[in-house]
Amino acid sequence: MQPTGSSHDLGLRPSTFSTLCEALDYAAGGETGVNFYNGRGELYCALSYGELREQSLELARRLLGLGMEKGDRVALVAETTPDFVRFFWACQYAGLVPVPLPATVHIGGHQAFVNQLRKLLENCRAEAAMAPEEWLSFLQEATEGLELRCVGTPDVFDALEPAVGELPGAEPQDTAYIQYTSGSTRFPRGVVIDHATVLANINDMALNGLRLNDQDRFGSWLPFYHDMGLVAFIIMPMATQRSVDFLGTRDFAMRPRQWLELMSRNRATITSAPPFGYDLAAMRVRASDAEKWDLSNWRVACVGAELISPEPLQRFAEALAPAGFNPRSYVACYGMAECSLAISFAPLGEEMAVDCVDAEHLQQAHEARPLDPETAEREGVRVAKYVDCGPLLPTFEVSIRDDDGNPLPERHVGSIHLRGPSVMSGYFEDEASTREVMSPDGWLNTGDVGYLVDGNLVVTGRKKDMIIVHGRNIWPQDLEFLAKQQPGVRFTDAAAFAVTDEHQHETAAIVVQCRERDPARRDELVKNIKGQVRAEFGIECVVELVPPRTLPRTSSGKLARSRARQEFLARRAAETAAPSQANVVNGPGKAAAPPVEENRDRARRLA
Amino acid sequence: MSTDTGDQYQEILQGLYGMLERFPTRNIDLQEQTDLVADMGLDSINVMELLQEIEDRFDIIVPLNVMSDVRTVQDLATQVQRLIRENS
Repeated sequence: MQPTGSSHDLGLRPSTFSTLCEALDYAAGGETGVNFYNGRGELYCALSYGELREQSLELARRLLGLGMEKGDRVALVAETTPDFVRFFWACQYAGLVPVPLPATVHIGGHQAFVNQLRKLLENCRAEAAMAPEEWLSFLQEATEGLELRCVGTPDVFDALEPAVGELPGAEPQDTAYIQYTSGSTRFPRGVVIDHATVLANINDMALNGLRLNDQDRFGSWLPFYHDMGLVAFIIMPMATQRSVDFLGTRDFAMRPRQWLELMSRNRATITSAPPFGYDLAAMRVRASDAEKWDLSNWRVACVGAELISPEPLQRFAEALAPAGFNPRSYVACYGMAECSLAISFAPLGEEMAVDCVDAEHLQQAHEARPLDPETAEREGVRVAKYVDCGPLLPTFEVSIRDDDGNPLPERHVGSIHLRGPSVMSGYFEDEASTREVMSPDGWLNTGDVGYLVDGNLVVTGRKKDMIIVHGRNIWPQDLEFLAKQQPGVRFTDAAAFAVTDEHQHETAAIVVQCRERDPARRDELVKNIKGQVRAEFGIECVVELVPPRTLPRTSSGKLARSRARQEFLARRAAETAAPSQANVVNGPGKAAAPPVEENRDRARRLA
Repeated sequence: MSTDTGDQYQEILQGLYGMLERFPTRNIDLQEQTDLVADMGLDSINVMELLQEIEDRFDIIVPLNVMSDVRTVQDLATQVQRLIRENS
């Protein structure tokens, strides 16, 4: 088997189409396509866009054979497989709306995963649901009692009686897909993206952010249910007629070297990952690898989705220098599912720019006053460093606003508002949540906080209270819910927020009010909460037990999470200063170092 | 359990202990009933590393649906033994 080539005679059209169907019709005339590799690095499926189109048209008829109507939702457990891609395009031709569902289950996390799937299936009111064989039992459990027309593996759908007549296809304003990246697991919000919307974002990225050329080739291990995995690596390569090489997310996590092996073998030029992805790969790379690989074609290494700390990126660049990896390939970027995907890219081929500002002044006056580190050290002033995420893509209008909605000048910190053709139409069947973030004249309040410098965007904080671990957004409400499920913990007893551990990685802390005095039972409670959090989210968290009425509330009785966090940090700092008095904290001893404020604030996210 | 399968199980168990000892174990004594996440505190990245070692060492592929019901070292050893048997 041979992978599809990187170039062909078909002229590069960077996403100048009115619908995704039209884009695939065009790409089908070339020789590029999608390639799937297993964990051992073997190619197990290569499909040209022509073949993919044929298969998708065939499947579209079978989906319609179920009697579904235009706009009905088809949920797809989004494992990295050729079937997912085929189903995604089949839905477009059939006028149906694909809804990618997460394909990630943690050790011991069976029930949590089933519950999560069920929430999403109910929220999007799916008419049909597909899962690959190894995920089917979870999907079956999750759909028990729900009335779907069909739940099964791809084989089951392929055996359906096809509908006759013309395929409905799509109009530019039809919904192309629903994305659940941004919602909490308990209160999911589905981002609704139209054909014209996603194509506008891809066109903007292709022409301006990435400046695609007719030799570019994509490579990715990002999950298909993540906006970056879906938009940047399934839709964009197709809509720009480029080949793409896929490695499963789980295969990457187990054998990170395969990612680079693949980039080298096929001379891929564009990839993207959260910082932890580069970190994981750097830890496993052997000197002998770097000597035999050729990464000199790799021109864009996007970095987004979580806090950017430069050290792992430096380690990665050093380890891969013998393979020809250029550190100027790193491109810091910012985006979110609500804007289809991308909002800004740092300039290509330049070193990552860091803005150094007076930290004190930033906190007090919300102004980012430039300060060079040497002066700061001489004068004993604290410096905050933020990665510059570059100019906004040209189709976006940006406005930085204060709490009353007034526009702010450059270098003043406020909430980032955006408007433009890539912005979602709203959250699926959730007018209240949509109104919360979108104004009638089309401005989206991202909830993220930042400032502008010469038109470049610098993000200093993100969506209120969001915790981001390994590029994944975790809502504090979801963690608090798990704590409150424990016997003896009442509804008002928990507060969750982000802290940084001793390696400067972001993690979650949960403060729980507890009346129990028996040490054994207290330990048991901490252990159970941690176990629940691991099962549901696969992360290690810090749990602190405090006496009742410790958690701060606003005058209206709402939990004041950021104050709860400050008080937690103060307790931690006091405990570190006087370790003998440590008796309240039940978290692991190794995480006892007080988290560093600046690092948390260096947050950068690409949804 | 016949002696043969019993021996095989013990061998797998010892192999797993060897792999698990390299993770931060918070000074706990590894036993069959040790909970991989609740007691050992393995996070999702650790689990992936462990799976890779298990797959390479025992020459098996561990499907996802197996891990979602594994909690203890014993659960893991039992599943590995089953997968090896299915493989041969």
